[in-house]
Amino acid sequence: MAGEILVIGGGIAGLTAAIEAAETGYDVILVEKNPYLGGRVSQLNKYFPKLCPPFCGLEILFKRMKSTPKLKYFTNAEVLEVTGEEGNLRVKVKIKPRYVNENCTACGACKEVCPVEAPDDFNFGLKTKKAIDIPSIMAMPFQYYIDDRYCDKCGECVSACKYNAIDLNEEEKIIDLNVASIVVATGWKPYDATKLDNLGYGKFKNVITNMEMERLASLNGPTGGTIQTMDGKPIETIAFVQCAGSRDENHLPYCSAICCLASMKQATYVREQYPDAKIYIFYIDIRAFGRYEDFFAKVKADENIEFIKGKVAKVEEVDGKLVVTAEDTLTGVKNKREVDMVVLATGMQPAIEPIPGIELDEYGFVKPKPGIIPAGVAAMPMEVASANESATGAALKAIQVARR
Amino acid sequence: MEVDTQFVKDVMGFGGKTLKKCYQCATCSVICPQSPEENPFPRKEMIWAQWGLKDKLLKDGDIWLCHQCNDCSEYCPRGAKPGEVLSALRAKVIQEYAFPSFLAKILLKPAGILVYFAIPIILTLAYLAVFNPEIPSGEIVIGNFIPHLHIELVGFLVGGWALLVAAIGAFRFWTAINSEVSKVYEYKLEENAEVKVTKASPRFIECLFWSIIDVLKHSRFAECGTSKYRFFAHFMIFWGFIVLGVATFGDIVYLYGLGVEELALPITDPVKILGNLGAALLLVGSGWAIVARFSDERIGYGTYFDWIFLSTIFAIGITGVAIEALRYVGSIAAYYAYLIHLILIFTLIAYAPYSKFAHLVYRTLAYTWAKSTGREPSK
Amino acid sequence: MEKVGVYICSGCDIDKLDIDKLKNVAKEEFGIEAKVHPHLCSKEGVELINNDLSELDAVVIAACSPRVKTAVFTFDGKYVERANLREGVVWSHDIDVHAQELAEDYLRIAITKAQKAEKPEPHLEEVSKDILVVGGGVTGLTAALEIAKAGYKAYLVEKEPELGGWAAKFYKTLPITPPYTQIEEPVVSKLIEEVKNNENIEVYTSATIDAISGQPGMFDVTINQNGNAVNFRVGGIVVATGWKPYDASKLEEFGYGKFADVITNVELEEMAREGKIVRKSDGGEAKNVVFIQCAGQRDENHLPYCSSVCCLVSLKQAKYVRELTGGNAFVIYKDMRTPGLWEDFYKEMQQDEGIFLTKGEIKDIKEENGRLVVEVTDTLLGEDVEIKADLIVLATGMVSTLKGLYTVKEEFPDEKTVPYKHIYEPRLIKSDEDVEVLKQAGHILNLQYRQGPELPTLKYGFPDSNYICFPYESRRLGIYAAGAVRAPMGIASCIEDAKGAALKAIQAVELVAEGKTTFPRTGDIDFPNFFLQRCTQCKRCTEECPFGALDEDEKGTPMPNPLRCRRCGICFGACPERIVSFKTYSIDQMASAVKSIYVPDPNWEEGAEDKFRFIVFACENDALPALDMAALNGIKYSPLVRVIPVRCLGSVNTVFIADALSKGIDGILLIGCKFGEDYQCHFIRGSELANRRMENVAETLERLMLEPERVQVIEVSITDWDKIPEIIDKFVNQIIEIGANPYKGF
Repeated sequence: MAGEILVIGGGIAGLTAAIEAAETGYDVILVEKNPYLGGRVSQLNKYFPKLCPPFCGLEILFKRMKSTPKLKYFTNAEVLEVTGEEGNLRVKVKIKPRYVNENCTACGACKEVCPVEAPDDFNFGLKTKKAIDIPSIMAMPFQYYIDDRYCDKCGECVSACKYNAIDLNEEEKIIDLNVASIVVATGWKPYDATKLDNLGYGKFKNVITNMEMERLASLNGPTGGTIQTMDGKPIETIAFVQCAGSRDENHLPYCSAICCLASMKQATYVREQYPDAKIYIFYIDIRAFGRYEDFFAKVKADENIEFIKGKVAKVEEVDGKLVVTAEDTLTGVKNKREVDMVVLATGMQPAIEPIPGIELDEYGFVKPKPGIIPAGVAAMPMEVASANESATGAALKAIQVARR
Repeated sequence: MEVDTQFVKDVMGFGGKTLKKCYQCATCSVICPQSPEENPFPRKEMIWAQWGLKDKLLKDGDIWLCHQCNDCSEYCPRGAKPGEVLSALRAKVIQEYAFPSFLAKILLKPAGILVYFAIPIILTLAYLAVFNPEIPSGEIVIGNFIPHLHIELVGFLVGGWALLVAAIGAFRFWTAINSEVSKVYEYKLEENAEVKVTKASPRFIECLFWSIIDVLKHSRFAECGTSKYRFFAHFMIFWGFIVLGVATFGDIVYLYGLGVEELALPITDPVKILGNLGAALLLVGSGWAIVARFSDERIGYGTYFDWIFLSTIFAIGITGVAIEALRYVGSIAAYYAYLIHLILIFTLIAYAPYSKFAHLVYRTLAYTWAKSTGREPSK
Repeated sequence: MEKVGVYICSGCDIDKLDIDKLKNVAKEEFGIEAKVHPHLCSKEGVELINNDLSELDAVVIAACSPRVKTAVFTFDGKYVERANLREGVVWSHDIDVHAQELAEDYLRIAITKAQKAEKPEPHLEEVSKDILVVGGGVTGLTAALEIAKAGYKAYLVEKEPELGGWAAKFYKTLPITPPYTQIEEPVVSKLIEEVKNNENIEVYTSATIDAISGQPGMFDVTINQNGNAVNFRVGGIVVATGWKPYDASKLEEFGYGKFADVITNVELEEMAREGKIVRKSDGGEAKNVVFIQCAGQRDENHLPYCSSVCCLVSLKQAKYVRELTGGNAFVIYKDMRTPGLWEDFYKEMQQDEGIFLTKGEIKDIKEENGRLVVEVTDTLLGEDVEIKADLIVLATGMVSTLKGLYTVKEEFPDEKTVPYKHIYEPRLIKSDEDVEVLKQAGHILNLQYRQGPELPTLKYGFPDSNYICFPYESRRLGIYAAGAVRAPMGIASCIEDAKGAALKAIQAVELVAEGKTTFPRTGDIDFPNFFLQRCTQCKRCTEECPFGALDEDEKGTPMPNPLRCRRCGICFGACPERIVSFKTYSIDQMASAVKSIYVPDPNWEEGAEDKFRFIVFACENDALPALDMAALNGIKYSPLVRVIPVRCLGSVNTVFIADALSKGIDGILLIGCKFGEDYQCHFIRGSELANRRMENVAETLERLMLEPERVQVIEVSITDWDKIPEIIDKFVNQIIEIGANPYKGF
């Protein structure tokens, strides 16, 4: 199958690269390690600055995929190794069993009988799922899967399925691909907030990460979209801690480029649900570049949202309330704020694990080389619009090789 | 406002070479267990140092409230190491306030090490030339080599000089840090935010008294987190000096009060016990500090300023113990060790106002100032 | 289509309905023998259909939502219509007689639509696959090169005598590849060499575009090179005309124009290229240089946006000062914006002991004893400071080269036309002469499009996409903006952007070569046909088309350009004469579908609420998926409602409303995407147009003594699945309150 393009990663950048290349007329194979496509953005409630839902764009992308026969994809698939040269790259891909085949109609009978409750990674463990479940309501493919870390193979689901869609004996497969070029769009993972020992994550339950906030605010999240403390109380005051691990040589030395805007966006979530809530955003520099400045201006104009220039370096619990401390560097006074919840704006870390044949830089981002083209956050930190620009450009670079 | 790039370079040369890395996030000010609520340090010192604002830094008492526990450097996201920068600033301040300034300039630089040792060596050689003392034979009795009176006379002379220079520096420093009007505030957490309340300023003598108590107890130093060892090492060195001071006083009482002829005291003598205890504290404390500087990267680069002081203390301890040991075995090498010991003690005392030793004065005054202006560590 | 096969799936709880009754509907009303399978999407189920395919033109699948199993139920060359019995009926309603009636109506609608559909034929033309790149700066050069590398021919047109643009005028440039720490020698000379040596690129310098006519795949370009006309045909266009510096003469508050030694960052580049940084006033070396960030940026009175790159540029220029004069460089910023890996550049530049940085606001710039003094407040230094300066450099922002040009008519409405809500700061024009004056100000593409000569802009003159997910969405198919003309950005981003836009231009020519359109209806070959004999030249279609697909002859008759078309159906929705139709989406088809709904005999008795009937026209992109998700969540809504998916609310013709009301439908709800400034409508303004049209319908209803509440437009987003059922039920109850449609049974 030489001449094809492989896209690694089925998040927004990978989908974009794959679809743009396929619509231009090239054969594309996309591999995604999760049992669903959509990646990180499918976990987000809304995008800044438009405050529109990521599902909207994903819906269109999925629709485009369905109408583009040149694009094939594998979920639950991981690239093990890349060898060869630009134009003739050999790729070994491991396809882990899904245990549920395309006969699945997503009727949900299996889930009803499944006796195993398991932590739901999609919701960062903020809720549970069944060992057989559908990853999300917008999942693509819209098909159940079995999480074999938890399934005890009791077989209840097999008997409940009317469509002969479950095969508990499905085995891992290794496939070999021969492609002309590879777009690496492996995206990012949230930086591990437990490493930020002065910010109380893991120590105080109401210190959460920005990604957890996205799930809390999402209609299909653990609380059905209600933002509340872990004790189920409403939010009266909340602090957003910028650069939690970003721009920090002890953690991620680079700026994650999105967190300022993401926190402002999340401030609007809180404002929408709690019109009287007081919101504090502690920052070093507000990086609302380009037209995103408009969004900053809009959020700044909200008198319930206070921006404090100074990094929070201490989060404590005093009499059951969280207290954050930062020096306001413009007034030279240490600011203490008592809040119900602290949201750490944790940064983006490249998600790719080392793969033989793909070179990474000192931060773990993918280095471009002939035939291997990083796209989106696999290349460097960026927001969704830039990731899609990057992915579209990557599609061109991939095509340049594939057409030869 | 004038920036002083030379000052920036000087501070970098004094061990603050990371200062330009700071991007003013103020993590340090919050992390620092010593830093007060209002105008906390060391964030502001970092930008003043970046801008070479010498005048502001010379007037800044805060840099003396830092004990370089390096909590700030540990958490600094930029690797700007505020702990080291403040240490460098303190060296720079000592240099600026010391009298005469040319001497300070020479003695504080690595290149000045020749002068540093040349002065006591020349003085010693001159002494030896004039008095031509002979190495006594038989039992080792130090006083037979160089009379105690000579030592004491020189000691008072050098000590007096050091005190005078230190007093000049102290006066300059005190005037400077008090030239900025500051009020005493207190913060109370009310509702969600803090409320600032003005308080009356306490009296100087009271502040000084409590500052000295703090110094003796190392109570501020005890707040430090990251480099806990520093507290213990410093505590030992500090109390080693005090114990040795008491022992020296005991020696003088023996010599002139009780008419003891010779100080070759038996090991069970209380003064000897004190002397040996002091030496042990000094040696263990300084030795620990030296080892830790090699083994713990968080403590940071040693600078000439640190090393000359630390190694002098350690060498004084070593030579002191050596004299005693050699005396017991009856080796005449004890006399040579004694000469080296004297030279080292000379550098310690005579250069005290130009060395890290001066921090004793500056820090005590800064404590006093901090108490009078309410710059207590925030809770 | 004549031969329609009907296949009913009885799986996934659909068998809770009376399948025989459904079969009867097909048999008795349409004469079609429907086949039933308990698992239609299985191999055997599909086999069942495949076996009949040779006999069929169209297939009706009465099973799940059209959003699922799409690939399974795609049959080459056959028209497929889906009756959504699973998400639309059994998963979203209690199974009772109403649900049964609902399912039967869905089957009627689907069969009717299939019968009324015609086989689409692609609009095929002899197309050119060459690409025109406008602008010879870094973006344009990169785009041309990348296009050539992909095997396509590029024409590069630059108005200046030399290639290179701004980048060629700069002393040095920011790094374009990692590590982002070192200032680099300009890359542009290398790019120019490569472009000149590439035989697949034809370069025209000192050339402007006189006119571009036609459509993607067949754009006829006339350029003017030093007065000589050159003609060629291209398929796609990349617009990379870059930026212009903000007019610094407006920055009086920063002393520009007042003090000779206040200059802009662009002027500093020129100075540095000469090898020295001097006071303009007396030529003396500038030893103290103050950089003022956001000079006229992030400022309502000047440029409200951030130019993204000035912080980095000033850090770079501060280094020039250090290198060329050894003096001091001060940078006064509002926020240091060096996002992503650019943080490394900031970190590196900070290291220089002669570079002094602080946040600050400029209070005043004055002259004291012959020296400039900058007063800065809100600093990090704990106090306000005064900095003596030999030279003050204003970090002025980037303005799109499109700013100030006459772009499209809708952005320059006259006093009578209502501007669209998404148009940022519509510029009012008074007369045709006014337009002519505006056009004199300059042009870039000079498109011979009825709606205007340039790319429409989004905000601040940038022809950017409004879609986060689709940054290369263009309202002119085949024409894509890249680089600083599209959004403020630095060289590294321009290079990336050039590749993206180049791909889109290539993709456009490949798609139109097969008669296909681009997303969101990618691959759709069907295009609107105009039955011009009945046209009344009302110009609604030509004005409302969001993509400028329709031109006009002198009389105002539309001249379609099918290759520019995005298949939204807004023209079809606009036409009062109903002369616009697609083969697979026609007025007759949709109106028949509406009419196929069974409306029970009027029954005026109290409590006969179950005889009411409602139609929801739901946008297939957002409202329809939201309804599916409501069903998946088990949220139920009134079974009296028939949901009919539409391409866009903009494609709902008022005739459907009239037909529905005259048929006795009691209420009609249009559910579509949000419109206005942050519009989410995938066809720009379809939902806004629907809203306007329904306002007009409301007036008509009042004249007919019908309550205007019977027709409503609702804006939702795809994740409003919890709200849509509520909205529907509220609407249903409101109309039931009002009472039945009095036209029932007429």
